[in-house]
Order: sequence, then structure tokens, then C-alpha cells
Amino acid sequence: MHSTCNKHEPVADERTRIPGTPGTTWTRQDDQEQNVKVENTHPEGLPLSALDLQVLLVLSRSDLYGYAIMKEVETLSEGLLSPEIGSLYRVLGRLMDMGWVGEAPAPADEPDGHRGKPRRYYRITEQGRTVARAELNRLKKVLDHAGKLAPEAVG
Amino acid sequence: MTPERPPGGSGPSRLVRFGFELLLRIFPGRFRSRFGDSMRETFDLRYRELRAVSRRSLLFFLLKTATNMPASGLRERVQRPHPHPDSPAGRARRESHRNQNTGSLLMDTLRQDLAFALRSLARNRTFSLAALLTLALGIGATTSIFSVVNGVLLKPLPFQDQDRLVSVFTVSEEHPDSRGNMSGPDMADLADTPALETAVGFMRGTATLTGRGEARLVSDARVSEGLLSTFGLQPFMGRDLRPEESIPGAPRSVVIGYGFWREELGESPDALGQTLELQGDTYEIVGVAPPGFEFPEGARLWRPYYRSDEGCGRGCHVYYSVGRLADGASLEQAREQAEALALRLDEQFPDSNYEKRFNLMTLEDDVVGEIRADLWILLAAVTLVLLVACANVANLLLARAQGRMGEVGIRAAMGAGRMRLLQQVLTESLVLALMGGGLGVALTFVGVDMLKGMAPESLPRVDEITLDSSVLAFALLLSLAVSLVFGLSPALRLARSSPADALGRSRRGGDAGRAGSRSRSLLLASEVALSLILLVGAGLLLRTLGELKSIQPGFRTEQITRFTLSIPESTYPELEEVAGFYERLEERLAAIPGVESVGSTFGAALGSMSATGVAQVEGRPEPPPGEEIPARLRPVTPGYLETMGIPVLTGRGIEPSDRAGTMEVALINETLAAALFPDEDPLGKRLSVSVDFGFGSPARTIVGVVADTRMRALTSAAPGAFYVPQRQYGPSFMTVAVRSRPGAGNLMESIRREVASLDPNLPLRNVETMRQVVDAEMAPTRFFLTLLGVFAGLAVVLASVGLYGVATYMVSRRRQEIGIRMALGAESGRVTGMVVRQAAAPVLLGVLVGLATAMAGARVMEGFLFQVNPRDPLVFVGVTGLLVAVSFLATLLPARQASRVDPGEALRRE
Repeated sequence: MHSTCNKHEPVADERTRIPGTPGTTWTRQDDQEQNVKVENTHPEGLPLSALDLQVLLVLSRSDLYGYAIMKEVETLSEGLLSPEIGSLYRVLGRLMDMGWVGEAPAPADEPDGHRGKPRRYYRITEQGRTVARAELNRLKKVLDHAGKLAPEAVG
Repeated sequence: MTPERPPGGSGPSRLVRFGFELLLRIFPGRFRSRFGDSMRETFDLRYRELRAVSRRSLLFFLLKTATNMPASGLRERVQRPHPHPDSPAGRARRESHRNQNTGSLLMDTLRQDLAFALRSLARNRTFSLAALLTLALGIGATTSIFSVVNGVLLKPLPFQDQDRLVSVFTVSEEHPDSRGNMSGPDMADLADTPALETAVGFMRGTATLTGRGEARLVSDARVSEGLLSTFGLQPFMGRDLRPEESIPGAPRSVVIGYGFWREELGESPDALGQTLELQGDTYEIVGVAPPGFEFPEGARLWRPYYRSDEGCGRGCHVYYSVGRLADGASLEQAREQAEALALRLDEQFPDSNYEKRFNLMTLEDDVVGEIRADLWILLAAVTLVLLVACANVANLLLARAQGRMGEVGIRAAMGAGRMRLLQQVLTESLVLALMGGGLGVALTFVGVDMLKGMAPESLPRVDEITLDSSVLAFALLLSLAVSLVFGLSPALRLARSSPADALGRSRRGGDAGRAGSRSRSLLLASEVALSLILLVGAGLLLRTLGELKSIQPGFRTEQITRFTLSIPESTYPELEEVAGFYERLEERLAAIPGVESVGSTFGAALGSMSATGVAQVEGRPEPPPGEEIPARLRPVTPGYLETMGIPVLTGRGIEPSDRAGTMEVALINETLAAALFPDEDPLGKRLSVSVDFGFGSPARTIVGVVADTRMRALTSAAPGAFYVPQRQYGPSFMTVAVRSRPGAGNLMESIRREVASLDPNLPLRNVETMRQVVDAEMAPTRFFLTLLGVFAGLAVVLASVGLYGVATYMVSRRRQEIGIRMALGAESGRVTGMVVRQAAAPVLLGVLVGLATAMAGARVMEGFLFQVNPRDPLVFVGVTGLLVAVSFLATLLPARQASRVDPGEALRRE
């Protein structure tokens, strides 16, 4: 996931941003492209890194604890993403700081026959869902846009 | 959603957990308290999962974690606390974090950083050279010692199912951890316990090989039954020895070692069926052992031992015994069953098995158990040297970082990211560490050879010590670890530098300057502390060597050469011929120009053979079991006492006239005299010594008392000894000692010629000077002393170079201040004192911490010491004094420079 240095990608810019709640609409003329107008519903902090997005997506299916997130990301990305422990928890920390992920109580029937101290479970917030949706939308648009420019590359 | 397969493997070892704990420390405390527990658990679960999959994926996971954790931790550290997302800082932060998640950019910057690191290393030649040499010495020394640990301890023994092989010993109830040989019947009974599948006995020795060029000795082992099957091995060629071949009268068969086959038979494919002349008998080669099999240590041939219980029953402890645990049986079970058997035998055969027990240990413990702790201690010691080296390089880097604060501050002011700066500095450390590691490996090539040359003979598996892939991998990992250890604190300091630094606030000791000097002082203090610990270790060993050297062994050690002969029964069947042979031999040897005297003995001091029995005074009741007085039976020729310089205290010595047919006489030593005749005159009393397997002596008249000599080891007290005339007693196996006049040169050539002129088929075994014998006793102490001494010396040199560097740096930074002080009238002596005092603080702190640590850990050294208290005050005071003196000298030079600062010049520089 390379989100910078991408000439085809609209980038949020301080000067054109209209202050407001997440989901503000704005338009921006991309100076690199031939007057393509991109309209976007964009919350703060997009685009997300690949791992950010994956964690949000995984958590949108169910509440999970750390190791399970790791396994799920691995499974759902078909092995493409295999998060390291350090990176995973940094991402979790960041997503929590952003208010996109919160903590959840451990379910009564913990899997794996877990005993001892209850695990910390993480749950996606409403805001987190919005952000994930927005990011998927953005990606889709990027793809659509790329499809128009170079149909053979996108297929 | 939960993972489909619950993780199955066992959890990480304590070492791995500890490693992860260290990695966690890289994260800021705030982050740790938030996620630490979860991260630990995730690591644990992942570890179990991958362990169940394969070693490879587990290793891969550990490697990735080891690199990802520091990287993530550092990023977390250099970023300011997460600001509220809606604040302007929060927005800016997200922008910047977005920029850090890019892969190709990372590669670009890595390339840039590498180029930058190399340029900067090339620019600061002196710095780079000092740092590289320091690291190379540290890494080279550590890797060399690791190669020893790897070869001796970590590589598996060349057997199948190593864990199921146990060594079995006979011990007395009093010394359950000793390792005595087994008797044949005891061994057979033990092999019948259910927990043991087999138990095989070995008699180590040498065999005379004749009929293939010159007569020579080959290390061989005689085996009670079978050979390779016990070790789960297949012969390389031919077959194993068969149990039925150990019965007297069976055809003589021999299995030859792979090395013997290659070197002596030229890898001949027709080796099987050929014959070897061993000890005058013809043996048929029936098999070739697989490569690497040389058990017991160094054996090249294996012959069956022809069991005969005549005169050699339960009391005859001749076998070094190895057993194989039955399927599913544990060592613990085998021990319990052996204990039960020992108790039964004790009751049943009080004559031979009174208070005898069995000691079972894994074969691995038997081979390397004694040296294991020693080697780990050595590795720990060399790690201390490496840490000193790291501290030194860190200090160099810190000093340089201080100089770069301005430059970095400007870059920070112009918008360079902290992460980027950190990465750049760390890349430099990494390049430095890898280059140092490369040089270190080159040093290891030399180091390993030196270590192998120095190693005492008691070090097992020396041939396994090589620079193999695991040693190289170790060196690589070590370099990576080292780069973090010395690179982290300077890098963090630089990354924290603010634009204000660029404006010169810190140039004369602002906040940053003070923090820098604090970390430098701490580094210095730890260098001093580590050096002190090493110095204490070396000092204790030095005292031990002194104690060893001051031991009076009770015999001469100079000008004496000895060798062992075993004359075959077939040529010399009776006592008359045996005695006659040695008499003629000694006459001829004594006639060699330069020879002062000649004498022979059985059971020489510090030798491998001895016979110890129970002394019994004629006319006294037999001592009850457990209160027998032991005595070494020592047949000697008339010249022996005189040759070895053992004085006769009362009565007479052994005379040439004491031969078969005359009165049977004996001498005893002081220890035995004191034990048997505390209040009586021993002369004229009659004494017998009974040894098992018919090697005893009937009662003889005591005609003299001689001084004590140490026998078993230099460090163990002299045992009671019972000297009998060889001409009245035998045996045919004797150690001949030849004393030469000073300046006579090497007489071995002439000695060999004389032996050959009497009997051309007699090889000389164990040719050695008494000096060599005594030195070999001190060899382990010398070995460890040399190494610890070198390590301590290295550490002290590095620490004083560090001190010198820091003091010089301090003076150069304070030139103006010193100039002002001197302009205002400070005397040069006061200035010198000021600098020395300032450097003294970290030295003092280091000395205190080092002393406390050395005191607390002194017991580690106990096993190396002889008659030296591990907290010997002399050593502690001495090395402290030495270290303080060296430190003082190291700071004196820069301090005197400070006192010569020209006030005018210093002020003009502003």
C-alpha cells in the first residue's frame, strides 16, 4: 500500500479543507492531472495504512483480542499481510487514540480454553466503521479513476 | 472469530521470554503499561503456534520479531505522545505518520543512510579506527569463546538417542557423586534391571601394534560385550563385535576406527578379514566403526575383553561402563532401581560391596558435565569484555553526537523527521558493528587456534571446536545486538535534539550538555565496574596458581623423565624374568652418560595406574567394615626413592639385596605410620595389604618409614603408602624414572636405544618429564587464568582509554572556563585537581558497584580456586588499587594539559 508519491491520488490539503465534522465534503483540483474533479466524502486521517484498514475490517466482524487479530488479518488477507507484534500494537494504539477502536469486555466463553487473567478485547467504534467505509470508498474511487486512465492495467 | 486451530506447541523458554522482555523495554513506559501484557500474551501464543508448525517458521518469527520490536519501539519513542486528533498537532502528526508507512521510500532512505554512514566513517578516520578495533576485539574474543562452548557443549555427541545413554559408576556411600569403575558382575546385575536395556563395560588403554612397520602404541578399548549397538550405531563396514566373542577361547576379533582404517589401511575395501598383531596376538578385523565414533575418548580399536571371573569378581572394578535406558524408562527410574540393587548387593556381598552404591548420569553429563559450568563462566566473562567495548564505542559516539547536535538541530529545524534522523544514526552504528564483527570473525580464526593450543588435556571434545556456520551466525547476531547496545543512547540523544541546539544554547553546557555528560559518566562507571569484576576473577586465579606452585609434592620435579613399560607375559612368565629384565634395564640406563640415577615403580605419582588395598597389622583383629585403613601398594626398585628424592626418615630403604628368597620387607610412609602406629615404633612390625584381583601382598616386615608424597593429584593429601621391593613382588608393568645431571640435555634417544637393545618389541608409553606432569596438574588453572587475565587486561585498557578520551573531551569543552579561572589566578595544580576530581566520580561509582557485584558473585569462582577464599581481601584490595591507579594515570595526562591552558588564547577563541 503506497499512499504517498501517487500522482493519481487526491491528497487532502490544509488550505482547501472546510472545517467541520468528519465527513466534510470538499473539492480539490489536482494540479498534476488534467482537470479531473474528484468529489469525496472524507473523514480525518485518510488514507489509512494497509494494516490500519485490515485491523478495522477484522474488528468490524467481531470483537477480538490481540493474537486473534493477528491471525484473522493473516487469514483474511490470505497471508498477504502478516503483522508483527510491535507494528500491530502500535497500530492498535493509534486507532484507539483516534477513537476508532475501543476496548470490549471479554466474552463469557473464551476460546482456546483460555484460563487465567481475562484477555483484553478490542471493539470497533461507530466512528471506526465510518472511517473504514470511507477508506474503502476512497480506494474504490482510486481504482475507478485508475481504470478510466489505464483500463488495461486495472483489468 | 477465533483462530481455527488452538496453538499447540510448548511455550517459549525462559531465555526467549527474557529476550522479549528486553525488546519490550525499547517501547516507552506509557506504551508498555498499556499493551505490555497483551503483547507478551500474543508473543506467547504465536510462539506456541509456530513451534507446532516447524522450527524454521519459528526461527523466522523470532528473527522478524527481533527486528520489528526495536523498530516499532523506537518509532513509538521518538514520536511525541499521541495528541488529540482534532488539534492541529494531531493533524500534522497523522500526515507525517502516513509518510512513514511506505516501503519503497524506506529502501531509498536506507540506501541514502548507508552511503551517509560510510562517508561519515571515512571522514572520521581516527574515530572509526578506534571504534572498529574495539568492537573487533570484543566480538572476536566473544566469538572465539563461543566456538569452544559450541564445540564442547552444544554440538550433539556422535551417537543415536544421546539422551538414552547413561554412564554408570561404582561409588561409596560417602561420596555418591564420585565416579569409580564398575566390576563385571555388578555391571551384569545392573544390566538386568528393567530400566536399563544394556550396560557395556570399557577398559581404556593402549595396545602394542606390531607387524606393520615399527612397533607402536594405538589407543584402544576392550569391551565387555558388543560395541556399536549400545550407541544405536551401525558399522561403516563389516559387523559389530558380538557378545559371544567376549567368552574366553572365542576367535579374536577387532573393530577398527574409521580414522585407523583411513590412515593405517589406506581406506582399503578389503580391510575386513585382514589381521592385526596386537599385544603379540593375532586379531581379525571384522568391522569398521562409523566416522566420528571414538568412544571412549580417542579410542581407535575395540577388542572384546575376555571375561574371566577368576580372581577378579565383584571387588574388581575395572570397567568404565555405559548403559542404554530401556524404551520409556527414565533416568530417575534407572537410578531408583540401581539404588535398590546396590542395597541388596551390599547385604549379600559385604566383602566386596560394603557401602557401595551406583552413580548414574547421562553420558553427556559424564563427558562435558564438569567443564560445563566453567565454560559458561568463561563466556560470561568475555561478554563483560564485550560490554566494556560497547560502552567505549557508545562513549565515542556520544562525544561525536554532542559535536553534531548543532548540525542535527538545524536539520530538525528545517523539518527533518525524528524517525529519519534516528534511522540514520542507527544505520551508522549498524555499519560499524557489522564491520567490527567482520574483523572480529577474522580474529576468531586466530583465537580458536590459540584456544585449542592452550586448552588443558582435561578439556573434552577439543576436535569439535571449529568455526562452523553456527559460530558465524552467532557472530552476526552478536554484531546486530551490539549495534543496538552501543548505538541506541547516542542515537536517541541525537534524535531528541531540538532546533534550539542549533542556536548554540548547548554549546556551553545547557540541558543537553549536562544530560550527555551524565550518560558518559554512567558508561564510564559501568566500564570500571565490569573491569573490576574481571580483575577480581583473574586475581583469585593468580592466587590459586601461587598456592598450587607452593605445594610440596614430596618428590623431585626437575631433571626427571619417566616412561612406562609393560613387558609381555609370554616372554617374561615368572617373577625371576620380570625382575631380571628391570634390573638389566636400570643398569644400562644408569650407564648412559649424563644419567644420575634410575628407579622404577608401579603406581607412579600423578599417574593413571594405582592399586589401593586394606592395610592389616599382623596380630591385630581385622578392622570392622568401614574402619579399614587404606594403603597404596607400591612395588619399587632399589633406586626409586633416591631418584625421586623421597627421604627415608627412619630405618632403611629398599636395598638391591632385597630379592626373591630373602626376608620379605616393606616400607611405609608417614601417613600410614601415623594411622597404624600412632604410639608405637613401626619398625619390625609385620603388615599385609590386600588388594582385590589377587594383587595383594602377604605380611611383610616393616624396615623403614619414608616421607609422604602426593599421589592422586597435587591438591589432594598424600595417601598411605606401602612400598615393597619389586624384585620380591613384580609386577611386569612399571614406570621407569630417569634422573639426569643438570645440563645433560635430552637423553630420550639413548634411553630408547637401550630399551630396544634389550627387547625391540617394547614401545615406551607415556614418555613425560615430571615437570610436564606437574604442569599438567596446573594446566586448567593456567588456562582459565590466562583467559581471564587477558579479558581483564583488555577491559582495563579499554576502560582507561575511555577515561582518557572523556577527560580529554571534557577539558577541550571547558577550555574557556579553565582559561578564565587561570586568568583570575587559579593555580595550575588546582586546575589539574579539578579535572582529576571530576573524572574520579564515575571511577568511584564503578569501583563501588564492581566491588559489590564481585562480592555477591564470588561463589561462582569457587570451583576454580584452591585454598583461596573467593572473597580474598588481598585480591579485592589489590585489584581495586590497581584499577584506581590506572584510572588516575589515564586522567592525569588530560588534566595536566588543562593546567597548561593559556588564558589569553582560550579567551580569544570565543
